[in-house]
Amino acid sequence: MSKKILAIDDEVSILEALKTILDDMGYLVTTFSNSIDGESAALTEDYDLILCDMRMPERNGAEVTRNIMAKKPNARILIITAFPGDPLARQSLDAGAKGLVKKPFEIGKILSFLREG
Amino acid sequence: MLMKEIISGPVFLLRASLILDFILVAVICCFLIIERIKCKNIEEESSHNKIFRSLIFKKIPANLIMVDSRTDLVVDFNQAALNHVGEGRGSLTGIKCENYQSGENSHQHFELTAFEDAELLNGILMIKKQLPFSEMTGNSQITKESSIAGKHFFKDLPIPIYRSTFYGELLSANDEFLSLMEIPDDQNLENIDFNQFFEESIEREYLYEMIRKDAIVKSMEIHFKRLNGKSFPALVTAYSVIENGNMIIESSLIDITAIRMLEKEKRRMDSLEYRNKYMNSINELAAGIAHDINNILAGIQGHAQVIQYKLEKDNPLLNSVGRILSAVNRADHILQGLMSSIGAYDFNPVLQNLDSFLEGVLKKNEDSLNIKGLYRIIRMDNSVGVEFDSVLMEEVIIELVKNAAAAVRGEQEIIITTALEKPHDIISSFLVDAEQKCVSFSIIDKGLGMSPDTLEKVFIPYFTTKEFGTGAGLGLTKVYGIIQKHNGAIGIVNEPGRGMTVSVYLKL
Repeated sequence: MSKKILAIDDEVSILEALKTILDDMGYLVTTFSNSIDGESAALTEDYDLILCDMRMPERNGAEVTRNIMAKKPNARILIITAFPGDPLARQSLDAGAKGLVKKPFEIGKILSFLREG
Repeated sequence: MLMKEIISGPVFLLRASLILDFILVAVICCFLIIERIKCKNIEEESSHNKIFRSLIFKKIPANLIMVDSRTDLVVDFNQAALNHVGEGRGSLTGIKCENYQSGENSHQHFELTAFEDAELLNGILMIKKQLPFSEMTGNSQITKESSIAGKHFFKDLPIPIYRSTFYGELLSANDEFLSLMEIPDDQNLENIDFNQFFEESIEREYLYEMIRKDAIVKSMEIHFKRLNGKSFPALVTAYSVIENGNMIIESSLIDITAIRMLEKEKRRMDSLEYRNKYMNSINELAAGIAHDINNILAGIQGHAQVIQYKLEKDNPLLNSVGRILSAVNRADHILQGLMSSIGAYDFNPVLQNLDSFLEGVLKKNEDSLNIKGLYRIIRMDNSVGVEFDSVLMEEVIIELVKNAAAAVRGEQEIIITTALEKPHDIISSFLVDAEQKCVSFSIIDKGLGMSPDTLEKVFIPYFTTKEFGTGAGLGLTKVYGIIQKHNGAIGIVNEPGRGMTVSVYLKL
């Protein structure tokens, strides 16, 4: 059974790149550029990995993380951020995100996280 | 009030308030009228006439008109007279005057007349109640004769006043003047050269020239110098009067040091505020651009990775893809630097001792900064704790020491001091109270300092005087952002060619 990945990021080209590579490797990737829609999807379905950007217009990543972790404490969330020092990143990690991936990121880090899971 | 008198005889007191002026002017106009009588050519515009006009027609609250006694026409008038007959009238000049009585010296050409009540009727000014001269002054003791005999008026005048000649002889001065200029009570005024009290001889010459020309100078800003050499700005109001054939200056001084300091402080605060707003705008701009470009880079990298992933291992195009990816990486580093400078940091302040922290950071980074043995710490010897974020403050210290080290190039010692003090020489402040005591540390170098132009721009991201490509330009921007986060202040004392001191102030 393929692992399911949810990616939430307001930048469409990032979502496309992620999807292309990960689809190809056999993962099932669902993408959302609207953070509110992405959050709803996370709450209605189960994913093996949720990738969440921090700075998004509708709702920021820290809030999305908190909302998901509140309803699904077992969710595995990796936050994506341009800047590790960003206070939103700290807030997300405090809320229960499992780790941080810098963007532009290396797919490798995501892959190893998936393999561990 | 004690008046020191050198010339025996009349002692006049000059005052700035309306009532005394009124009397003074009345007195002056007494002997001016006497002068007038003596004056053969009555068309002559003497300086006395100018005093007459300027003082009388502007300062006395009584209703005054000057009438040409040959034609009974009003030739001049003051505002009070105009107000009395009706506002909006505009001018009384040329209006025929009736019911006025010429003074005792009725062969005068121009007659100064004061009235209590008058009416403008059918183009004629009807004087209903004229005031005799002595009554105008409100003090029946002041008659034409007694004015010259001299009296002390209004003994308790709170303004410094002096009388001098145009040649620098100080004739008399009141207590307020003596204490303002720090002249001892027992000092013999004869021995004082009044010219020394002027800070700039040009100002003194200009003042005298204006007094000679207009007979009166009002609120001229002049720099005076006390007996102890300390100078201060003052507003001078001065008149010239004739006394025994000599031209005397009577003058009041108002020390405006406090006002000027307030103005200067306000300008400085305004410019600090402006600088903060400016930096905030720049930071917002930079943050916005950084964020957008970062996203685009992520897209480029993502797709480049897709290509890399999909190509066979020996495909020569992999080379190009590799180049794309490393270019993206470099761009990313630049953005990282910029974004950390302008500050989306984690901020975890902890109460700790700055002295020991400073010592620790310097020791730890001695080698990497190349300052081993080249610096000295002078501690305030105080264990006051202050809140700051260790990670960020370390970055600030490293950055400032790095700059100092670059300025002295190993040739001199860098001195680092700590203190408990009020901030001074502030270039940027986020303190709520500019006067509050702060814990501070200062990095002092005797390098070449900075040009004032450079100092203006020192916090702007990427502004640097170092060579292009050395990665410089963001350090002080970072320091600015971190101190902003701490609500502290930065002070800089810059002496181009001699060195620089950069101070960081943290609120207690």
